[in-house]
Parts: sequence; C-alpha cells; structure tokens
Amino acid sequence: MSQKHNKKVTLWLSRLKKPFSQDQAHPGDQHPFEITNAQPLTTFIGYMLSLGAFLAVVFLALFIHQNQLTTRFGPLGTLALSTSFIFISFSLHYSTNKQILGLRQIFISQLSLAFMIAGKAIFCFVPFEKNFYDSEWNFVLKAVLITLATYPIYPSQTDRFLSSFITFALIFIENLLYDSAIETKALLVYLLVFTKTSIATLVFVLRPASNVFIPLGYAAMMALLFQALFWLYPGLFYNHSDSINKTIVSAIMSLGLIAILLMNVRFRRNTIELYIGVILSLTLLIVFCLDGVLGALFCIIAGYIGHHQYLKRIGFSFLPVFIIAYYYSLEINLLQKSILLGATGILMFIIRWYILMRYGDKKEIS
Amino acid sequence: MTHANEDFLKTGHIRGDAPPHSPSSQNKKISWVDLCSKLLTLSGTLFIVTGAFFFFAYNWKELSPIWKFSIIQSALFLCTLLCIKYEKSPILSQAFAIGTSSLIGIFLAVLGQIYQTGADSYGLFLLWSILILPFALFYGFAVVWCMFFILSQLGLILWFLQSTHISGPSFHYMLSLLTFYNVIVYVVRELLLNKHFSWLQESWMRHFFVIFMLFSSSLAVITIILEYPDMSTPHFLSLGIFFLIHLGLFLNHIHYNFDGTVLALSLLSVCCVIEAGVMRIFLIKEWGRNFYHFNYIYLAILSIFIFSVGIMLYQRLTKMRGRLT
Repeated sequence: MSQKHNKKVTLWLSRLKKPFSQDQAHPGDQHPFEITNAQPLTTFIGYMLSLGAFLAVVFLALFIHQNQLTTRFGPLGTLALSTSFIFISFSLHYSTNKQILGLRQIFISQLSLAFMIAGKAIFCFVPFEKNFYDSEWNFVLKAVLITLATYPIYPSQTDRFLSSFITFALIFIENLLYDSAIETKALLVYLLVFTKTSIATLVFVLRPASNVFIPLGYAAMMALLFQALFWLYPGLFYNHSDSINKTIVSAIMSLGLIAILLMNVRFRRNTIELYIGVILSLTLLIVFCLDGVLGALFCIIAGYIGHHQYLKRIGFSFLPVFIIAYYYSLEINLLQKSILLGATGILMFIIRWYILMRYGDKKEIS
Repeated sequence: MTHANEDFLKTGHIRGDAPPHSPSSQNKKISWVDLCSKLLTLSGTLFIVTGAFFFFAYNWKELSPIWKFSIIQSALFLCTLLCIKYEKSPILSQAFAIGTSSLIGIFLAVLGQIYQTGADSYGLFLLWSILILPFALFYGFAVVWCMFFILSQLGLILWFLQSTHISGPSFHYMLSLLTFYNVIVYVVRELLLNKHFSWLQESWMRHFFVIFMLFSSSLAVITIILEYPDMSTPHFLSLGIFFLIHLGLFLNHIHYNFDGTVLALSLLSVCCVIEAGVMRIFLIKEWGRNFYHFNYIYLAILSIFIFSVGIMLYQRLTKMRGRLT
C-alpha cells in the first residue's frame, strides 16, 4: 500500500518538476488558436472543453456574486479563495493521466480550466485598499502578476491565450483611462506597442520548438489589432488617443515587419525592385499612420512564414476592415474618394501584373 | 507526426496509415510571389469595388432611372460574359457568378424603389432566390447554391414575420417549417451525392446545410424548454423533428457516410439542449429554490459533465470508425 502510495507521489512530483514536458502531450488542452493545421478532432475537443469551462466559470462567478463571498470574506479571505481555486486547478490538472482521454480525464481537465480562470478573475478583484502598489494600476498589476506566475506552469493553451490577451488589453485600456500626464501616457503606449511587436516577432520568426509561447504570440498579435480597432473610435473612452503620435506606433510595428522580412528573405541583386517596393510601401503606411493595416499585414506575413492558418485568416479578415475604415475617415467628398480608390486599385493590379511577369516563373524567391 | 497525432495513434483514434498532415506543410517554402499576388488581388479588388460604390453613392440621386437601370444591367451582362469567358479559372468564374447573383438582387431593389411597387421585403428575397436558381443550375457553383439557400430561407423568415404574429405556437411553426426546408435540402444533397455533380462533393456544403438545420431545430427545442408552454401541435412537431434529425444524422454519418464534423455538430446541439434543460430545472422551476444558494455550483459541475460526456461520445464514435474526419 505504502509503495503504491509512494509511486503515486513520485509520479505527481515528477510532473510538477517537468511542467513543460506536458505542453505538447495533451491534445485536449490544445486550443485551435495555437495549433498549426489543427486536426478537426482536436479543434472540436478544444472548443467543447472551452465551452464547458466557460459556462462553469460563469456559474461560479454568479455563485460568488449571489452569496457576496468577496464582501463576506474580506481582502485576505478573497485572496485565500482565489489561491485555493488556483491550487485546486493545479492539483486537478497534474493528478490526471493525460495519455488517456476518458470521461474522468475530460471532466477534470474542464474543471481544472474553470477553476483556473475563476481563480485568476477573483485574484484580480481582491479588494486591497492599502498595500505596496496602492494605485489605479492595482487591477492591471494583479492581472500581470497572476499571468506571469501561472503561464509557464499551467499548460493549457486556452488559458495562456486568454490571460495574455486580457492582460495586454487591460494595460492598454487602463493607460487611456488613468489620469496621468499625456507624455507618460504616450510613452507607455509606445512601450506597449514595442513589447507586443517584439513578442510577436520573436514567437513567429524565431519559431521556438515548444508551442508554449505560441498563445503569447497570438495574444500579442490580437492585442495589436485590438488597439488599432480601438483607435477607429477615439471618442469611446476619452479623447486621449489624439495626443499619441500614431506615426511612431506605425514605425514600431513596421520594425517588426522588417525584422520578419530580414530573417526570411535572402537578398539578391535581381530582386532589388521588390525591396524598394517593400520599403516604399512601409514608408507610406507609416506616413499615413495605418497601424491597423500594418497589424493585418504582420498577421498575414507571419502566418505565411510559420504556416499558421488561423493567423493568416485573421490577417485577411482584418485587412479590408482597416482599409475601409481609413478611406471612410478621409475628409474629402465622395467623388474624390471614388477616384482615389479606383486609381489605387488599378495601381495594385499593375504592380501584381509586374510581379507576376517578372518573377511568376521563378515562383520561389526565398 | 505531431505529438497530438501520436497520442491519437496510441489511443486508436487515428490510423497509422493516415496521411501526414503538418510536416509536409511545415517543410514547404514560402512563395513570396503567391503572397504578393494574393494580397494585391484582394486589396486591388477591394479598392476598385469600394471606389465604384462611392462613385454611385455620390451620383445616385442625380442619375435618371434609365441610367440607373442601364448601369446595373450592363454590369449584370458583363459579369455573366466574364463568368463564361473565365470558365476554366474557378476563382474568377465563381467571383463573377457571385457578382451576377448579387446584381440581380440590386436590380430588383432599384426596380422596387423607382416604380414604388409596394411589395413586401419577403417578395424581394423570394423572387431573388428564384431568379438566381437558373444561374445556380447553369454554373453549378456551390457558393451560388448556398446563396440561393440563404436567400430563400431569409424570404421564408420574412414571410412569416410579415404575415403572422410571431409569438407562441406560430414561432414554432416557423422554426418547424425552416427545419423541414433545411432537411429537404440536406436530403436532396445526400441523395445526389453520387450522381456526378462535382459541386456537390465539397464537404463544407454539407456542414453548411447541417449548421442551419441544427440551429433552427435546436432553437425550437430550447425555447420550448425555457418558456415551458402548454404543449400543443407545433411544440410536439418541433420536438419530433429534433429527435428525428439527430437520429438520421447519427445513422447516416456513422454507418454510411462517416463525417466527424457532422457528428460533432449534432453532439454540440444535443449538449446545448441538455444544458438548457438543466438551467431550466435549477434556475426557473419552483423546486429549485429549496437549494438556491448552491444552484450555481450544481450548474457549473453539471455543465462540465454534459460537455465531457459529449466529448467522450464523440471520441467513442470516431474511435469506433478508427479514423478522423
């Protein structure tokens, strides 16, 4: 009996020691966002798991709200509640055998995911009044802390993607809402854009062997698009976005694109006009502050390089949105707009014709 | 083979001789010409179409009816000609076929606007769907067929909305009618599958029809569960159709034409209906109040259990067939 018990404990401890080893082993955890060329079976299981867990989180949140647990327990009690939820989630996750996907394992995986999300959400709402980070950034700081703490050790790609994306989005929104100096606000936006671009570039260009960082890459990319979408409606919260120089934002994002191209395209003399074209296009995109278009292009190119089908689809879906939004916002009359758009379209087709004529037979430039 | 696939191989969910999926695509070189071509085609088309749209928006009020009709009919004629000319290029011919089908609708809308026919909007959609039927038959494109399917369905919904009061039993009559229509389309497609119609072979078309079919039938059952009405003929009809659809789908796609995606969709619909039933019991019904404080906890556990059973059943079914979709 004791030997059996010891074996179980050793197995459990070995799993805790090697959390990364399970990152690619449990198909049930794989969310379609992170899998390249995901199999339909895995995609379906991913969606069903997430849906079950999502419903459970909603009901757990309603339970906490209905019984006013956060008010009853106070700050420390709420902190204990969130910690216990996260601990339960870890225990459930590491106590199941991931090689066999039976009813018990599927149930426990969903329960674990639900506890993790609920635990993190409660942690962010812990009502600390006086503490070492007593500021309006409380909520964001807690979100960053809990994401950083759980990301490497909790191997659920859905949770990783959601936590990272929500954290990026929270930092961006909090920065616009928080009543600080405009210079600080702008500086933080540039820093955030740089961080997100760097993460996306590193994940999708360097392509690390483990898929641990892929949800982070997706989250960074989606956060860049979210930010560009947010700017389409500058009056949504406060009109702070006018004070932020979008040329700098576009320039930072184009740096990521240049890095991707530099890492993946070999320079040849006979393709010099292509490089000139790329530089010219990027310059125009920066000058006209088309950060959304840059983000969509970033998705498409990174998706092509890394063979990420979902990334490509996201890019191709968002590209028309940002192009239409840009032309819609131009302050010229409809006739001028129509001429401008028609001329641009014809120019695009001329460039396409030239590229196909010049390089069409060679097919592979890189 | 990826790690996920190795796991499925071990557990018997996929066969060892299944074609490799990811590695081949991982080793592919990136064709920058293809990428540039796709991007430029997408953005170029978008710019020209939007440019044309803005042009008409600017001048539309000033144009006389004869000009309006001439422009639309010329575009219609041009699209049809180009569709025939580029018959060998699937993307271009499909794009022009969609253009033709859309222009028919625009033509009908402008006709109604200029002559003030006073027709109901369902008439427009039904007539539109009837007029694109010859194009669908002639071109045989799956996209045009789907367009016909959506338009006719929209026409039916609008007819119900405009001609009856959508409440109580009539809502369920409408959903039953829609489901019945979707079932006919699905059955016809399945019967014609082996009759040399190349456009019918595309699997996404089946999934498209099945999604519509399941959505209308599940919505009917979920509303019955949540509203808990006095049961009458349309309610029994909705329940019967829901049961028969799922039975038919499981039988057909397990034993005859195995399709994992359809099985997954049916299981998802069943799970949603059961979830609605559980919510009804715990949140609305009188006896739920006896253990009110813990209702949400029970619901959370039961939700996870329902979806876990759904996943497990799906795995069993795919394992039974020993292959993926």
